[in-house]
Amino acid sequence: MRGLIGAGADQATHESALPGLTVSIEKDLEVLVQRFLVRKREDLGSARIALAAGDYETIRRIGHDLKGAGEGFGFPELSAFGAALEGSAIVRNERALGEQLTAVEQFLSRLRVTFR
Amino acid sequence: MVSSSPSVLVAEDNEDIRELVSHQLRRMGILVLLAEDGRSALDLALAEHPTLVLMDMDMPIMSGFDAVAALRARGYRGSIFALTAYQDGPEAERALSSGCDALLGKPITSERLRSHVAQALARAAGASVQ
Repeated sequence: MRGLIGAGADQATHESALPGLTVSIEKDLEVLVQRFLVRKREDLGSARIALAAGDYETIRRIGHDLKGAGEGFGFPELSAFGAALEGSAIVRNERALGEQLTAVEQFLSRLRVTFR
Repeated sequence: MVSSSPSVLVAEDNEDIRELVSHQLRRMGILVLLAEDGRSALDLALAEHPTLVLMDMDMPIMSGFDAVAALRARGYRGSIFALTAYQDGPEAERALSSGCDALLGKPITSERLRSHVAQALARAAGASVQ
């Protein structure tokens, strides 16, 4: 078999918008999701340090990984943020990266996850 | 060669994706093998003959492209799905020409994962009976 398996969303239900954002995810994924969010917050800190040092490759990699994983855990916004970070890192756009990192930080600070 | 019970090799350097995919597969009752780079994936696939390989294309030490090509050259006949953010264009074409059977586009959602893995395992089970 050859062919393309396309993208699609499942597992998460977004229940409200600004200022808080509540996402409901299957109970079965609770441990994995909590661990994922801890790692993403750590990655943000690493990205800030990398940006200050002009280390765009580290930010590109962090963005690439976020893009690939976010939606699978129920957070399509994180995949979109990851894609933006990856793109800005490739063209070494320091200003855009700073703004995008702030946007991810704000998203994570607003995020409330419930498990059903 | 196909193992008597279904097994899936997940070759992925992104820890988040590796954990999520392996969790979903274990929920399906599948034996999961894990590799974090292309070289390890190649060695593990040749040693364990998994029913299906899910191969990230962008990995350190040896790329997924090279690992898949080496697997095919050394006679691995099971299904290989490329895990890639590139669902068309040169990277997708390269994945298929390397020997992948299909592209499993990232981000990978659980429904798509379960659906496509189940189909691949069913095909493999049918082939092993014939």
